[in-house]
Amino acid sequence: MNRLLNWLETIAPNVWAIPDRILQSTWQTIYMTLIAAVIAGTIGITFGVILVITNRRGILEKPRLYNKLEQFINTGRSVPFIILMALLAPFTRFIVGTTIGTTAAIVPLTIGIIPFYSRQVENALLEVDPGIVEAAESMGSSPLEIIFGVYLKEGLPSLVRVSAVSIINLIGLTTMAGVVGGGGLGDLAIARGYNRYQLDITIVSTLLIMLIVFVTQWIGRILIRKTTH
Amino acid sequence: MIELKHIDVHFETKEHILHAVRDVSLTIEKGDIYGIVGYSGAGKSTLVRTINLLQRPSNGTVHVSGQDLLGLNAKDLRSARKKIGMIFQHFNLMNARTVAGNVHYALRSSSLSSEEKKLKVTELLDLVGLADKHDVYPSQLSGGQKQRVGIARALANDPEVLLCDEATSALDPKTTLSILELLKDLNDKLGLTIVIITHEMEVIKEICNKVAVMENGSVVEEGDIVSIFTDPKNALTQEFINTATHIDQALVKLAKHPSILDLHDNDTVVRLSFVGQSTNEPLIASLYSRFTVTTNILYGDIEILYDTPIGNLIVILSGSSQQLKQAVNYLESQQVTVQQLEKIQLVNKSKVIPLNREKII
Repeated sequence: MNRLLNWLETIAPNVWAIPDRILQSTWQTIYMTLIAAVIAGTIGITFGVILVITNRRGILEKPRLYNKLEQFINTGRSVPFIILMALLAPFTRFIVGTTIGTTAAIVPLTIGIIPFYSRQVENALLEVDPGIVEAAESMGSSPLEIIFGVYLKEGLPSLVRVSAVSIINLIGLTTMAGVVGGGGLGDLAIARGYNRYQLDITIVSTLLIMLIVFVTQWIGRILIRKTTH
Repeated sequence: MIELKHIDVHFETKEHILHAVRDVSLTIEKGDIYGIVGYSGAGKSTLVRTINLLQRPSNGTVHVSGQDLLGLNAKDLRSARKKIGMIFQHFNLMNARTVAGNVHYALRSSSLSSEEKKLKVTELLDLVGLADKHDVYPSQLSGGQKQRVGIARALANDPEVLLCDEATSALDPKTTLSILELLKDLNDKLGLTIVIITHEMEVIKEICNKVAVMENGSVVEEGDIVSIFTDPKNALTQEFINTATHIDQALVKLAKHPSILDLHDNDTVVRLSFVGQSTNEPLIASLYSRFTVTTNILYGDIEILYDTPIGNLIVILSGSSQQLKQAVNYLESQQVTVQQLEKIQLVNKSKVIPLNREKII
């Protein structure tokens, strides 16, 4: 055991020197991802549902609302995230009172992922067989019953799939949070590992991010299997 | 029960307007099993969707059980739809719910208590013969079983009307028959009015009491099943009936058959069709005993439509022209329709077609 620790110390001396910082960065990444995922998830599913039902042949066809939302999403997706963070600074200050720090980073993260996730949700819900929706209409279901009883229930496996993809995307975005002092593993890899020529820190940060991504994929796969009949 | 008046449905695209249904008026009585037959693209699915307003007509009025559906607001339309069940070609079951869950969904907003709903689901599954499939997911069912779930679901709110949109088209012939039997049963037991859309005259023949034939969005012929089958006026109707009674296939086979090729001078090929009692007369025997005309039966078929037997025979009659004339007169006096057939040679295949009526012996 001692020999193993000694060996780790020799191959990764810088990591060994700051174990607390590494734990903290990992936690920051998870924290930013989770909070942003929950908020963006709620809004994204709402937007995705609105897109599907207001689209042509949707259950509440509203072309103008659809076009507005569609434009908003396309615009949102065209702004690069690192610029979005700077752009949103006043808004962030309005929401959380500061523009610096991990919590402050959650605002641009949430807003950055919403357009992507909304589109993904729309695509997932479009996979629901229109025949099933028609059957529900023929049974006299109300729009709300169709949204919750048909779209969200029948589309659940696809929703889980696109959610996992979006969370992985979100983890990617959190690595840029260092720009606004958000910390996280991406910041650790650049600020410590790259700028100070401490390659072992970059490698360990990468491995930890990969681990988080793999766990996300694994949970996604289990949930898809559980929800597919 | 169901009254469609001057229904038009058109879909507008940028370039042109597609007329799916043109000025269709139909009246369907309570307890009818009403068939609407036509080739794909004839507009029959669009037409049936106007009955529960899944498709709003561009013009015309829809009355179901005396209610003007087009005059209802969204909420009242939803409750009206609960009294109009519908089943589909591809079943459209919810994959994320069990068989019982699918039926239960239809009862969501009903006023029954949750105990009563459970009981109702069990009763419905019993009714369609799926008592043992309660907790199974649709993906584990066969096509026929899926359609039975569809039927149970459609019946959940005790509808007065059941719309069937190509409900048996995805099923094999045996399963089709069992589903049709179930529908007939429901019609008898519950007094359910059934509207059936299909491209197969076989289906119509099996259970319908009335039929409408559609082409290019219009109803070209309509009437009760026996008169349509015995005396079709429209060419398309005749085509459907010939397919359903297999006369078409018989004619194709005969065209290839040598017995038709070497007819003697005194031989003639005729199609005899008869309805009702004349089926009971020993016609063929009488032809010989009375007129010494011999009859060689090439093809025979008897259908029972709503307890009325309808027969079709293709025979070779042999005898002198005098005898033949007398025989044909006799047959016609017995309400048998006689139609002389001839063989024609097309470019590389031969075909048997009816002669013009004037040419009949």
